[in-house]
Amino acid sequence: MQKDTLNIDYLEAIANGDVEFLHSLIAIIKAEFPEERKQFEAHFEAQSYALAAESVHKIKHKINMFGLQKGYQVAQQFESDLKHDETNLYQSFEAVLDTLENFIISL
Amino acid sequence: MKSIIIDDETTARTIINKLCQNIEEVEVTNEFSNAIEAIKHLNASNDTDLIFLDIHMPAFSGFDFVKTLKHPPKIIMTTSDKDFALTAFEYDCIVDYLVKPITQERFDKAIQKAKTVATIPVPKEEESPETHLYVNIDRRLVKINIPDIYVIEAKGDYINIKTETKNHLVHATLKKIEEKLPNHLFLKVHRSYIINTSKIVDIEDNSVLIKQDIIPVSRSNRSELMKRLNLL
Repeated sequence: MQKDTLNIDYLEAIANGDVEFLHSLIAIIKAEFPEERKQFEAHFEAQSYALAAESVHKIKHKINMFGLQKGYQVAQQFESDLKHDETNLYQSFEAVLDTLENFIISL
Repeated sequence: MKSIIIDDETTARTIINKLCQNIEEVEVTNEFSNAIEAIKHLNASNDTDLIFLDIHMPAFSGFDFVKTLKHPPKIIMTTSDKDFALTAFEYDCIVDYLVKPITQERFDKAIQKAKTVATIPVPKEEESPETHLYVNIDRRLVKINIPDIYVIEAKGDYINIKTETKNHLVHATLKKIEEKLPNHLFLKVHRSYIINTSKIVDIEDNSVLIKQDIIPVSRSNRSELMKRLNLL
């Protein structure tokens, strides 16, 4: 399976040459993503799957903006599954989160 | 166009704000991370022309938010889901629907649409009498079906709204909620009680039975109560 290529093309397009804005946006993401992940994991561990689905929904935006198309598909399916208390994709989603987190830390 | 952004995700608000900065006609006056704060703002001032509104927010969805607005400004929905587009366009006030991540090009088109839509008629459902009430409980706006309310009891600084399914303890006064309820259905029968007259089971001299509750009726309110009844 072809791997997603992580990138900040979207962020750069939004910044449109405004380096200061780009840095501040990345700082916001660096602060916000770990909180969102923590919240997702807390809801999942508590088996509050509807709330976990809400968290996945929120994280989905970041997965997409960094070019993780396949990761986005996993998130989309996982969000839908969680609404039916179906948790099979948990490990796959966690792998997507790991990939994204490592990339965000490296920025 | 004076605009506000409502989105629980800081990243999304920051991006939308930046997209707005690239368009001369759009001025972002406020950002809100939840719908309740936005409703308070809109109630306090009516200078908002355009709202960028996220659909998925904790406790109170974007659509719930739209339903609370009597005279909504133009709204551009922003979401990570394509699934709600059809629902969105059932609302006259929603001029466009943007799927995140939003590009500048797509954003510009949405603004053009917002500029060309001349007037926003009040949504049809607002033309009918109010059937719902939203109450603030623990920073959440909880929807209550008005006809389901059978009694409201004053409890110090709070009121206890009793419905067919649930009781809601709300920080408010009887006077305030009385203004929101339809007169033909609700009556203040005592300084501490408002009742739904359609739910009365029976009446004694100075009290009424509603569901399991015996509610006192003040002498001064008794005649008005009797007028409301379809007496044989």
